[in-house]
Amino acid sequence: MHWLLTDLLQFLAVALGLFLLAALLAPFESLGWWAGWGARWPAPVSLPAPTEPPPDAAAASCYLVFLSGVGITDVSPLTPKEQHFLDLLEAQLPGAQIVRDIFPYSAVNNPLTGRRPMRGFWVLVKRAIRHRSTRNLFQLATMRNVLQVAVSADRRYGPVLNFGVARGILLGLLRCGYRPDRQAPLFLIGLSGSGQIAVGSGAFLHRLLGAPVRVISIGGVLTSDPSILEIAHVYHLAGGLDRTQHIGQWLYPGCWPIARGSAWNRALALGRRTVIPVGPMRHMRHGDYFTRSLRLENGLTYAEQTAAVVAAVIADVLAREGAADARQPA
Amino acid sequence: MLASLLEFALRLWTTAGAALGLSPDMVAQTTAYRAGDLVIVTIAVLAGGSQLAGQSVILFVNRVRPGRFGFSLLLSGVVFALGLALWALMAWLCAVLIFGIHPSLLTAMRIAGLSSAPLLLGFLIFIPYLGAPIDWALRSWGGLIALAAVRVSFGLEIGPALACAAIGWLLVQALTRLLGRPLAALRDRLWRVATGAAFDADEQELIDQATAALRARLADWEGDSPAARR
Repeated sequence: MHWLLTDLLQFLAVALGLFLLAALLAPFESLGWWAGWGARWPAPVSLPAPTEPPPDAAAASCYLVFLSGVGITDVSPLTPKEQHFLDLLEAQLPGAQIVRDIFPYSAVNNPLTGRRPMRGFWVLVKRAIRHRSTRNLFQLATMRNVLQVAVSADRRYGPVLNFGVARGILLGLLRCGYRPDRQAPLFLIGLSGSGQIAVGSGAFLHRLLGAPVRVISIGGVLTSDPSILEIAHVYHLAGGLDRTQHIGQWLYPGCWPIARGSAWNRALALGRRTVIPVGPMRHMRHGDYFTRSLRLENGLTYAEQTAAVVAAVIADVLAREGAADARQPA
Repeated sequence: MLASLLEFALRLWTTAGAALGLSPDMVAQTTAYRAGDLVIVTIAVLAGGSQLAGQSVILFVNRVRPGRFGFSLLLSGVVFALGLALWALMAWLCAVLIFGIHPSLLTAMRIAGLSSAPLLLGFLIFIPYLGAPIDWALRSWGGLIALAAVRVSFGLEIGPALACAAIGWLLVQALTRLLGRPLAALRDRLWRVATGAAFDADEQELIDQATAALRARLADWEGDSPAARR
């Protein structure tokens, strides 16, 4: 029995050591990029030369930027579930342009399988995730990306990572034909941990574009990041069986009711967050927000229900903005 | 030479361990080794460097180059050790003038140096989310070490020992405020020497400047875009 306890303690010590090492390294990519260490990435305030926008871009009624959940290694392609969800959304919002190629857990939009020292390791993990027997290795990517969510929510590092992600989103929008002077409505859709990153980077997008930015959080983990006060509105889709969505509000004292003056509680007092119950969804795996094989009583699959609610939120905002524009004198 | 270095490293390890474990004879242990004071100075310098490593976001946002980064850590360690010596002097004065005891000033300095041992782990402050609680825990740990050592070495009870450490700290703060302007000038000068950049500690200001610069680039970009040219 004693040897078992010793082995267990040794295992826990090694696991704790590895976690601390990973946590220590987590802010380095963002800070190194900002400081200009290594010439691999473009400078923070640079923009590429203008290019010809896609032909259908001019007619876009709004722009949606999808920020994937923490279990991903890259976004090309997105997981089949996520692609299916976005296809459903696209069908319901034919005038919308969807930006799908943002990896939100990197200040330079660099996926885990992109140019980085551990690329080989993450390529192996990506391959392993495809096999049933080794599928759980996606937890490695989850752990790495969760640490980036902590970086985004940290007052010291958050501004740098969020600025970088906002720059990446801005480039994605420009590639899709977004014209800053037209100020088409902009929605950031954050799944899971990217809910926090959507809020953090959304504030910078608002400052860069001068346009209102709305966040649609799908089971998103939100924290007491002061950026929330610069977001026009946060629509939070809440699954009935999703406990993970509350983690940020448990871990960050600024979200506790006792912190009355915190950004989070001020945003709530201003009515900047709407919680929308969507059904008995879990946070991840079978039964999550994008599940295609389970149906609700209304006959919709979980993915269809989530897409319908997101589309309804966007249509409602567009209708209200259209009405407001119509009321304005020419 | 190598044997001496290894012995020094071993002494460093055991001295830091004794301090971290609040060993009652931690000060006596260091005097038993002929380079014991050098061990304590090394601990203080490493602790100061490690602490700055934990708070190094300020170096990154100021775009300090890697070479300067290392130099900044070293210089920070030296300045931190000098600050500890000043604190020791004030605590010693407090013991002499208020409590009427006459401990050795060198002992007070040894105690101050040993109390910095937890900050050898100061680099852990760099960890996102946990940085602030780790910082608080390490400082509290250092305070406990100072209390334990003052109690044993000065022969004081907990209350007077706490008063010595606290009044010494308050005197250092008062002195820093009193000499605010020249100290700020010295700090700026040291910062420039170490980092090669102007002292610009406000991270928010730097981020705001970058945001404004990117917004200006975006306006130029729009003017140059094919859609605008049409």
